[in-house]
Amino acid sequence: MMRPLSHILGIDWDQLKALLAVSIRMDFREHRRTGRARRGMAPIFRTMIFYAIMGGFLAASLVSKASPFLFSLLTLAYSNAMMAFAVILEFGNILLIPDDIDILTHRPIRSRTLFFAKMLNLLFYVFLMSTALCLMPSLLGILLRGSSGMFPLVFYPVAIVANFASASFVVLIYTGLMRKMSHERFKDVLAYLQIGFTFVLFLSYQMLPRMSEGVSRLGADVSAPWLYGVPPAWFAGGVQVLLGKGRTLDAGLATMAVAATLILALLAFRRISLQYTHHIATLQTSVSSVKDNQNRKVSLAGDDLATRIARRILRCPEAMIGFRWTSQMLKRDRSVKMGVYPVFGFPLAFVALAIINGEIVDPFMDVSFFSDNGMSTMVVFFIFFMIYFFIKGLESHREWEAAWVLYTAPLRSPGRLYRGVRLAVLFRLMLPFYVLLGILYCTQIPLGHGIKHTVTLLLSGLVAFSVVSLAVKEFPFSRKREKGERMQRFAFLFFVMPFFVFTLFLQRVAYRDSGAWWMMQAGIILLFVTMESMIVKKIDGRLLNKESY
Amino acid sequence: MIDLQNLTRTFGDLVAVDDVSFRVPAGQICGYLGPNGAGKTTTVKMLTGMIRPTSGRAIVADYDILTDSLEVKRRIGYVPESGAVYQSLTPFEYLQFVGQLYGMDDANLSRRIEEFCGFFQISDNIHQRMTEFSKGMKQKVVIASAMIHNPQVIFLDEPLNGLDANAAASLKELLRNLADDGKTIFYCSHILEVVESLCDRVVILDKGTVVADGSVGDLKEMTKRSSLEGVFRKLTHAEDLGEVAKAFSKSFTQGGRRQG
Repeated sequence: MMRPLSHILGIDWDQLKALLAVSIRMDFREHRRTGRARRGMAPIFRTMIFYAIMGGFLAASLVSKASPFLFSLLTLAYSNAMMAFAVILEFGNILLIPDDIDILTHRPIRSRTLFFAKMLNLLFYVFLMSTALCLMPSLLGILLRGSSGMFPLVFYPVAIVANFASASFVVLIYTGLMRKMSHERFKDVLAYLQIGFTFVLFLSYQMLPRMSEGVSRLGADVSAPWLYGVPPAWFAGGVQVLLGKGRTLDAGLATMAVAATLILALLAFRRISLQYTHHIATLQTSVSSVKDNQNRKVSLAGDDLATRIARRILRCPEAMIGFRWTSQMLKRDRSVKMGVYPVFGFPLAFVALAIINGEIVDPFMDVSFFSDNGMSTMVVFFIFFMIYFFIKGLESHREWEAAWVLYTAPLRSPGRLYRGVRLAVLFRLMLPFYVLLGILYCTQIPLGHGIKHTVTLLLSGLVAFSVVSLAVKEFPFSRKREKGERMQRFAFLFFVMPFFVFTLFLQRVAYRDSGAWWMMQAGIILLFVTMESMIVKKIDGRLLNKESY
Repeated sequence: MIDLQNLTRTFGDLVAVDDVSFRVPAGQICGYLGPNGAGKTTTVKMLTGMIRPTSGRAIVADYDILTDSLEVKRRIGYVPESGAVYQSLTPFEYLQFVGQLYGMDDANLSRRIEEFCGFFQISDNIHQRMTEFSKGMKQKVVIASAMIHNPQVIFLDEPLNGLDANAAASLKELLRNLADDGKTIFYCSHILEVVESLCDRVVILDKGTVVADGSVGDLKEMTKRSSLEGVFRKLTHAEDLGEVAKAFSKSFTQGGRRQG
């Protein structure tokens, strides 16, 4: 049955099967390839567990307050956003694998067949993620007021279709961008989209309680016309109609859902699929990348102030190599800099909002718990967040195979390379941020207190750097990134965030008098120095004793 | 048969291939030479239907690359310079996958896989994942994947990359025999000795345009040089390489002494 249907659609059934089978087989083997399979499950399964917890958390917070429609609307909105960002972060790699250009584009495969094979591969992962995210809301939906045992049977398939539509919409944007820009520029745009994801994930901490309050106010009936402008509402309307409880509004919304799904399918079928092979083949040779290469000049002369200071501090060649290398990565490498710089926007926005709302308090004057609305916690957490992404980015960098340089160079202590990396991050990323933060504080609280508080936050940030570095298993440039790993990183940060309230305890204890504050700084510095020594020994031990790379 | 007619490809302001025309008849091994960035790979990518020409046309295996690119792709084999394979597969799985893309039946495909793996002496590794393979072993699989469907025209971009001396010699013999059987071979390489010994004809490209086209003997006579390397250097304006290298070596070693 499928063969004649695919023939009518202009798709080669045998090729489609072969392409899909190979893609899925390779994806599940990728994990074993890195040699880590024996130590645990693949990142994609770990991400599914995180998603299942998030879905359960969301559903549990809504189930006692929301009507079935509102429950569907909010859970679908969250899962649609998560799926869209999952496609942006991870599974876009399915649509654009560099090796495909040399392996597949000269084979007699119709563009439409290749595109649909890739699309089915993508939807397979969306299905797994959607199941993880929506299974608990589907089951807990039975407990809603006015709900029945039918709810999971209706909600789950609608949620899967809604998430397919969400992922397909991202693919539409993807392919639109592929037609207009070079591969490098394309990656820039993806990086900007990742920033959006970061905001959604962390704002959800703020959003969920407020959403819950809003739900209580809204009560059972939500029937505003603006729902026509909210895609998850279309599918929530579909849930109501299929449950046999549809109002006129729900029928209208369900019609929108069906129309949107059909339009997306039609666009994928007509516009994208026919040009797909051509787009992926031309991406790597587009004009921007040629121009980028032409404009890139090599210069070893003319060190900036930070490099000159670093040369005085570091003194050993290995550390300077680490410093220069990191400085160049932060300056030129899009994947590194776009993964790191945007993170700073969040704490700065947090501080700026606090200033505008008059919420900045002097932590030395008011040492009550949560007196600064968690601002110090946020600053230290986001430094941890930035460094975690930076270090993880180096560990599984796209040019990870270049690590052979580290194993063949006559390095006496590879750990010293790390010292250079750390100093570059301190000079290039952390100090400018803390100087700005210090200025903002000093305009709001007494100068001495502003400086002392900023110093505490800087030292805490350095300890956060050491904690991250100590926890990373392979460093730097050591292995290929696995599918699902980026989502796992975000999920990890989501779960560790509450642990950062320790800064509130520190403030409460150490900001009471000057002596306690100095003791605290001494303690942090001692902790930092001890950890640094451990990190250098750990890196030396690993790189010098490694049998292969 | 390959027939290029005023083939041009630009990337913005950059003209990668500029009005290139020549014809390679069936049964001929044509060497395609040029310095780095001359436009060789871009030409091959156009001829294999991977990218479209900006202007001009080309006929490959009797089909137009612009209007019948799928028919062209059915009849060609391509060994890319990158040597890309899906490394997490085994050679058997990879070649089976490629064969399926060409619609080969299972029995014929299995027989061909065994034949190619036997020829390239990788039969013992046929069910081993290619992540553990050396570059040369992967290259053997890439070459097999380009020929497994018995194409009429074969494009090879640096096919000897990573191959040991015996495998390289086997491949050269295979190509000679395939050409004698009527297949068209389009061979891009920087290894001039191989091109000189293997190819019936050589086309030299420089800055996107054809600067020479003929047999190795004709080109030697035309440029009054005794080797293909001499011909290449003269036609690509690189005859003073010896002097440049000598000067560089001198400054390099003296600089090293000052450092050390």
